[in-house]
Amino acid sequence: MNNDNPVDGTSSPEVQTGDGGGNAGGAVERAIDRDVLAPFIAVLAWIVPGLGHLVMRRRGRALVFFLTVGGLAIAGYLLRGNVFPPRTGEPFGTLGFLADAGSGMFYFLSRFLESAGPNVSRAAGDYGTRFIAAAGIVNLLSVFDAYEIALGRRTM
Amino acid sequence: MIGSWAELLVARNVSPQISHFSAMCLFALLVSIALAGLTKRTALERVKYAASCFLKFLAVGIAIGWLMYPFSH
Repeated sequence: MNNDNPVDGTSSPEVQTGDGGGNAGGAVERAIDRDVLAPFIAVLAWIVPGLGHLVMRRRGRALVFFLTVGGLAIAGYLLRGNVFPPRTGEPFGTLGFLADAGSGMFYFLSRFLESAGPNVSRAAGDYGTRFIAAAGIVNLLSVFDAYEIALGRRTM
Repeated sequence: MIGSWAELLVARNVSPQISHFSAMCLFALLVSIALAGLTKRTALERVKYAASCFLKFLAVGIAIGWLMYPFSH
């Protein structure tokens, strides 16, 4: 059998080995690229909701996250919900800050969008506080999603 | 510009005029869409999941509201 096709018998394994080595090298490079890019994409996804997905050409998902996070945050500000500052001095305030800050640029825009300040003496203000926190949590979920996609752990 | 627009809305007292039910619907709608976008692949699957999630949000919210009703009287 090997004598019938000596060239094929010897050349094929070499070619396969060569290709395999090339693929392995490319795979390692891609893995390194992903490891470097994934945190960068996560930061982009945090700063501007949906931008991490947009960079990876997932436009539909990017639009969904931008609209939902933006909608929740702006509705919260218009309802005059409470925006937690970085230093509140209490554990629940810190958790509130972490949730609020999750919405990225919408957190930093709060001073412009809610210039009249919070008003939690009314039910609407209390709802607004929850809307703002939910916006941050949803955006954090989108950040993790973008990070996983960038690492290649999620294909969808 | 955004700040002045928001100030205008707040000054006219437009924003806080929202009922409990409307706030719940808005919240349920936006969160349902976000969860559908996060977990489903195709547009059809997303629409189905968002609709299902939205209705479940409303059902659970109304059920909890009725469960708490006796405590308010």
